[in-house]
Amino acid sequence: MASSFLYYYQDSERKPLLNRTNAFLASRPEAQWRTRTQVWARQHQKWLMVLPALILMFGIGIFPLLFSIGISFIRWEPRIPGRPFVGFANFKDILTSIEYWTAMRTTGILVGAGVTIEFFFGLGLALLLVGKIKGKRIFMAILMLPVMMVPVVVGYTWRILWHAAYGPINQILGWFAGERVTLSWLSNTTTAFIALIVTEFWQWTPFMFLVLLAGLTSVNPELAEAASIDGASNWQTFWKVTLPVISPIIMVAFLIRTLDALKIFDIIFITTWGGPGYSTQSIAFYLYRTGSKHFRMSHTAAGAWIFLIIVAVIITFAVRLFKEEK
Amino acid sequence: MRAEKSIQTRKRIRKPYIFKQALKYMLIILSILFFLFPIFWITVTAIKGPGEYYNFPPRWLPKNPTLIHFKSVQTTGAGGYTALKNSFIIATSSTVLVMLVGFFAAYSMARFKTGGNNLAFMILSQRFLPPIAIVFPLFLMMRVINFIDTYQVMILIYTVFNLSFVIWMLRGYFKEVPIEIEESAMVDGCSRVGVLFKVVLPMTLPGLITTAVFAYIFSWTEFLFAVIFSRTRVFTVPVAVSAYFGSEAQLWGEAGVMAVLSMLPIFFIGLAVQKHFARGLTLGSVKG
Repeated sequence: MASSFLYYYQDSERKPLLNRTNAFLASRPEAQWRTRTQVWARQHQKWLMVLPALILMFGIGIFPLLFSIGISFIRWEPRIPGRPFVGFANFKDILTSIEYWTAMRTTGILVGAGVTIEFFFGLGLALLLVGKIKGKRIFMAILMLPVMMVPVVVGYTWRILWHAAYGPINQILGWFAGERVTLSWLSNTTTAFIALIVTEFWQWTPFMFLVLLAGLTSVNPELAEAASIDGASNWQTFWKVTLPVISPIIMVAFLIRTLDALKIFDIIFITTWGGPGYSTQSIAFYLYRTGSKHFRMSHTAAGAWIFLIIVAVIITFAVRLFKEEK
Repeated sequence: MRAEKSIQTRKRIRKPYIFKQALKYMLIILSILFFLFPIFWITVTAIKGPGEYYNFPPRWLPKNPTLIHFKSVQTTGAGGYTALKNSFIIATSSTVLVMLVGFFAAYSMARFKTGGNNLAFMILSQRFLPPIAIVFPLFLMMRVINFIDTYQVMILIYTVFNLSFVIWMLRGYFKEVPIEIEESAMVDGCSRVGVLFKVVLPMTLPGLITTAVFAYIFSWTEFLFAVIFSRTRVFTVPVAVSAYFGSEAQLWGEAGVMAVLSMLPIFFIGLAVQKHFARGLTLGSVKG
């Protein structure tokens, strides 16, 4: 298989071919080098094909990671001359810093609450749309738009929408309240969290919707029909028939969203800038600030590695899920 | 007797049925309003003058729509159209590169099982790696070779950034090509390269296009690498938006124009692959 197209010749044909090749090489020594390279390339073509990808991934992906292990054990910041070896001091600094743990908590809240709400609303919308419905394609097209938008633009949009005086959200709330509402959403910790979750919700519920709808559509309708003939109610059919069939897709959607939501950075950068105080800093945003504002490379590296270990556990789950599917 | 009964039952069913349908469509319309409203709002912000977006109560439709921000977006700050050009150059080149590199790697992994499942899953796990973990070490490395703020570094980073996704997706598509077709083409005298371009490429073209569109969208929307690696010369659209509207500046109109301009090309190419969108979102686990 690997030995290229020569594989397709019968052995009896193969020998004379090789003999001819050798004879040719003996007669023209200058051709030897080129031909040998060609033969070698053909023998190793399967590795040659993946080599560029592996080099790129190693150079830009894995090497910086290893490099950052190195950085996390020295002290690399502008205030300190030289780069002294400090052992685990950076890790200790990070693990004892309140700001880091607040960032962990913020990320946890945003991911936990955000992804769960997105899932339930996405599932609800998908169930609404699963049958034959007029304008389904248009609806799906509309819901594709948020997923494709630049997160920074989404953050900018919602920041305008939340604006205390000039934003329409307070205006609409005012209609219901019957008086002027001047809530400044982003300057209070609780409301800032609500604002961030709603922003995430707006952008990523469509993700859940599109994925779950594709999953639901792939469920054989005869299954549900058979269940209803046997006297199952709609609710029972959903719990006992549909849900088990689409549960792998639910898991995949959940894990992909969780792993992407853990990286949350852009929206916080634009809307709250981690504030008020540092209450809405995510891990990515906290590390960005330590790295770019104060240029504390070592603390950033140590913090990133602690975060990575947590993420790696979830990645392992995700990868196992993909493995099962094969 | 019997017929009468069934009519009665139908009548009994009908009322809740209509009610249910009405509720269904109401929910659908509500969610359309919810998901379209923000897009509507930035679009009108882009054509409002400064007097109008700073207006209480907020005006839903501008009284005097203006296009001044489409001009001022270039003259204020670093230049919005320059950012669009940069984003275009970077996203296009990195998409072409990643498709080229990914095409061969994915083919080799799908057909020859190069590296087996381990390599495949290692590549998949790179897709989930948080970029914040490598962005600073990478910055220090690139600074050594004077690569900061250049097109090359952005193209290179986005190529690698998308590579795991592209290989994983293409590997799935290539696996669906029956090996018999390739073999029969080879028996007919087609070389391996010939098979790749004359058999595999046409058969997987929809998949290749979907994957390329996703890679393009990722490079177009990426922000963390962009904000760290670009300074004054090579800044992308998200960086430009954050410069108009962030912790320092509050240029609503200019940012609105940038927002609108950033959406158009992406929506256009994204909607073109609508049918295959779910597969891209789930890294191939939903085939559709």
